[in-house]
Amino acid sequence: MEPLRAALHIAAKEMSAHLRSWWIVIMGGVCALLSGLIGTYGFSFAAGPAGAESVLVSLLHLQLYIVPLLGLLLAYDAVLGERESGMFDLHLSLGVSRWTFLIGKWIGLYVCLAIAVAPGMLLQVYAFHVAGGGAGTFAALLLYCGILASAIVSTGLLISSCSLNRGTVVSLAIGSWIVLVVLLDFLVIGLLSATGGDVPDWLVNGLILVNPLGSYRLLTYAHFFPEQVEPLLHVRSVGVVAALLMLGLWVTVPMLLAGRRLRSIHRPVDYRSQSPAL
Amino acid sequence: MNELCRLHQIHMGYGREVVLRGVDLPIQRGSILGLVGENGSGKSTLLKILSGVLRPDSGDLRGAGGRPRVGYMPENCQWYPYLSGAQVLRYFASYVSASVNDQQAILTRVGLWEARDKKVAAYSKGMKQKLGLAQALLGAPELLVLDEPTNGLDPRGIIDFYRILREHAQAGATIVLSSHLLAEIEDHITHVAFLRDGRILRSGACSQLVEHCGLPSRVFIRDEGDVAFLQPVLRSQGWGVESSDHGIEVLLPRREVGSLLRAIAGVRGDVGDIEIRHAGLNDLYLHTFGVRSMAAPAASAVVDVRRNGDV
Repeated sequence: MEPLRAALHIAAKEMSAHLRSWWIVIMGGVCALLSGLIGTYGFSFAAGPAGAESVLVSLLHLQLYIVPLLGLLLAYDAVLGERESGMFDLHLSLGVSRWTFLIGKWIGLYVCLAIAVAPGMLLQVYAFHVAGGGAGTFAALLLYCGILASAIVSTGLLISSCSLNRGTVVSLAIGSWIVLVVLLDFLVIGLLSATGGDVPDWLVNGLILVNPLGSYRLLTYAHFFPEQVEPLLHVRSVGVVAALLMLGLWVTVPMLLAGRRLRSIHRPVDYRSQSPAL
Repeated sequence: MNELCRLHQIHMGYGREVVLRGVDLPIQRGSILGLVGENGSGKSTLLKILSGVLRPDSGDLRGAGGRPRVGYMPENCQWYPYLSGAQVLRYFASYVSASVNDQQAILTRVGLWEARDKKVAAYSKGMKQKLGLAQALLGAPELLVLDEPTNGLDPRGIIDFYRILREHAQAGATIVLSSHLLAEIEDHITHVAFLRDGRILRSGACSQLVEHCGLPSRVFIRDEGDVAFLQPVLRSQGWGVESSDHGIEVLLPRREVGSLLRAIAGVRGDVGDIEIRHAGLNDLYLHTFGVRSMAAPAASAVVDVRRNGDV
């Protein structure tokens, strides 16, 4: 089977596996509930641009919690489970390369994540529309959210490829969520508080950018609220391009590392043809 | 019988642990090769290399016709529990372009047709093994690589399993399987390779190995009356003779069994019971691994005794 078809075949199987499980429906419901609450909360401020801004800020933060949580929950078992069950070996014996396998998994997980957040997103569209937000702004939000989801799925696949020990992988997934969502932000805030803001821009920028959620936040704030972000977040020298580049690295580098990890464990066979005189 | 492929100087390790140390193993086209060895001897790793899952640290696979089409059945496959047997087979059939008719025929052949729509989660271990065989047979592979394939199969399943293997071997497929159950595989394999600590200790056609190792056949002569009088007659022919329960036991090369029977008939035509046990896989294993049998002297010792003409 051609690599692209094989990848899509694996993606379809991955989607079918996740869509059969109830928890993705539950998580989608929770996401929708939170989106509804935020929408309602946003209305309570005021209609018009101010209300739309409130809703937008709330939605940006909601994605920061929901997308990494759902993405890591979906992805942590993607490679581990296949290796545990012997299915990964079977794919390799059928001529599926590690990259094809990983890309197939990535596509499947990405679509599943999109499906899981879709109900919430629909509510958000409605809330944003009622609050007076424009379609273009929401489309931009969706785009940035999609990029963040790509980075999280790649990270999840790397975590899933790291070990055959389920406990280790689960710990890594939970730990990653805590580090990315909570600790790195605390580190920046703590650093600024402790020094009274007397920190070089490059250090603050670096600490924000190194976190995919920080890059996402920077990207969205720089897009939606440029005048508010610049003085607050030391982003004078950091542009949208840098944040996009960083998110791009978070999409590709974990995948490369996952492929390298699987290659070190399951290296493909080099089959040498030999003359019939053998 | 010519070679389908050959593992050439395969070295393989996981980190610091060396698993295979210079394995050379020819695989004859149309043969059923049993890979026998202790736990941790490197059997599964060797099968993974053969099936294309792993690349060795050094050494390679060589074959006259390039890479053969491989059907691989991993050990303890768990499959996708949320799919039915038919769905699992359909999923893997796509990779080898096996038709729906082929899938149905294979499911029927391995005895899973009735359970095809049942979720794999509800399958017994034996049924999962059958599904593994079905998957490995998809796409008419030239080389079937089966890791502990009969684990969990009931006696009927084991009989059917080897019947299917024989059919495929007769159709030209080459089969490599690993097992700990010597008695089970003995009647079905044509070739054997003994593996210990990552090295092939001995490999080849079973019958040739038995002959090459000089493993004797055992003939038990029992009678209500005394058969001790046969001992000097048989010893005079150069065969090793021992007393055993209710009779005597003669150790001799397989090709001389006919001569022994004629000699017995010449002395006394109505001996009650003659049981012939040719050296088999178990004897070969004991001989190769240097294990002394509890039931009988080690084969090498038997050969020495015979050579000395004394028991």
